[in-house]
Amino acid sequence: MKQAVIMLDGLTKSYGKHRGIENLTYSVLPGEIFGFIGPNGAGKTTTIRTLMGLLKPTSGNATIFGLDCTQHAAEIAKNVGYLPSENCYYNNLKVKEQLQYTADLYGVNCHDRIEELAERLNLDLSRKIGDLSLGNKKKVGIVSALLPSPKLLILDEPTSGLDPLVQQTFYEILREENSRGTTILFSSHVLSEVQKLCDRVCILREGRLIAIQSMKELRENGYKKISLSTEEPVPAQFFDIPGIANLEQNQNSISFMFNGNVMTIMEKLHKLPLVDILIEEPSLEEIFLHYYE
Amino acid sequence: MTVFHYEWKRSRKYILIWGLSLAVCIFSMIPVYYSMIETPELLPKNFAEGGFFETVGISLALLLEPLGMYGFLNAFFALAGGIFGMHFALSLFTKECTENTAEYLFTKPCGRIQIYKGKVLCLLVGTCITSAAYILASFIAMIVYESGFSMLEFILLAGSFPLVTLIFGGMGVLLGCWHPNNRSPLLTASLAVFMGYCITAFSRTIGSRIISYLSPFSFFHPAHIHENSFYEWDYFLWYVLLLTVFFFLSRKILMKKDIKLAV
Repeated sequence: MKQAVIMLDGLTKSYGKHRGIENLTYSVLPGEIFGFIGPNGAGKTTTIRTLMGLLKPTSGNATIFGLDCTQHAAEIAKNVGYLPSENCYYNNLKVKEQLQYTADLYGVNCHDRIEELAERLNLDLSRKIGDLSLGNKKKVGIVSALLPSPKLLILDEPTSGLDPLVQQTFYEILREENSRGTTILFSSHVLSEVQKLCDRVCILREGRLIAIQSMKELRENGYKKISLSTEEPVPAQFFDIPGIANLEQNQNSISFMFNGNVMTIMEKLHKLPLVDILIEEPSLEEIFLHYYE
Repeated sequence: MTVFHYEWKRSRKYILIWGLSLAVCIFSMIPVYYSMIETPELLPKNFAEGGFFETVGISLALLLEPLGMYGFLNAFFALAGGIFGMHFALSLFTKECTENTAEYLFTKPCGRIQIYKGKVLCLLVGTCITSAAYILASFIAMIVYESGFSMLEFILLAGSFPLVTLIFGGMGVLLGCWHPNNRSPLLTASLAVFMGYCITAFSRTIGSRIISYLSPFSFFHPAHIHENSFYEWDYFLWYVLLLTVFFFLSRKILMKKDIKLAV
């Protein structure tokens, strides 16, 4: 069996009376793209900051490459590229200087790599960080995380602020990195984003681990939010079938969450005099509220 | 050295401005103040005989010696040195939190200890440069306007400037590591230095040696330097002990605590 790249064993971090994370235990295998999802405030960033050695765990422990995250943070960081959720770069430096600083801190010479990544992400290296938009600052973070060609990438909400075209390029870069053997821990609160990329996901809520699922399992539990309107009112018992939750009916408008065989619900919908229908992905909050409580 | 290199790049303008300002100020103030005591009988009686000069460790008799007025001036420039040292140290150790860059720097392979060393080295180099500018300008001004002074006494008097700067720097490092989200380092430094000056003045006025241990300004007494050609040993040892404790504790705090991130 392959040794886990990241291993959490009962990891707990509390801030006095405030909740942080509680008793997290999971592992990330080499070469895996591991999703880390949960609504805002679930504890994703606290977990990642503890892994990066910024925070000391209250109890339990975490290891990366078999080294304790608290004791050997600097040693671990040599092989980790980290993209924080917030922009944390020196506003008075130019992009090129900031990236050169990163390269110097890693002790690597990666001028060509910087140029290549900047070109792919359409990042102007000559501008001052303080003058950049939110999205461009995020690009600086992405290049900074990728430039030492690390064995492990830890990405905390990496696509927030990026436009859809750059997001696609970013996903391509991640897949290339992964194909070269890089393990990726990808934190997000956007389910669809995680579904596109990850092999397995860990779902977190209120600091606790809810589930670890492979993408196959997650797809089988493909929650859909369905909103429809009909020509005439639908009988109250019409949607009394397994997999329906949070049914709300307002005269001719109905909305509900569905989890189950798609053909079952399509057959039911086929019998209705539909005027309009919207089938969408529920937000994580909705999934957590209705399926995990 | 990478952290030091980048810290130096970020701070060199600040250091050079301080060094240059101190040099220009001491160079221009020395002739002004020495001209005031060419005719001591013209000094206001209450001013000359009151306790004011004693609060900075100078007697009226000493004031008339070649290095007396320099000792008086140096006591006030030491205030500026203290503010520089503490503000610079506080800025170095709080800006990663207040400017929201801690998450960048503290997740890099250099590690906390190298970051600490890089910043402390930057503080030491900054202190050396500003002190060198100040001492050199003092020396040139003294040679030009008041030659014939004791070189050893001058070195000890002028040397109190970097020592005061350094101990306030150490205090700033400790405060910065302990409370990194301090968004008013200049105000903190100014208040701490002013409080130090008040404690020294108070302790000298009431003659309390115990209270004087609380302020670095008390450690370098111009009258004692003039009479004994060295600093007072108990104060000197206390200075070394305090400085060691400041750096030891600050390092320990930085290594042990969670990295404070901007809110």
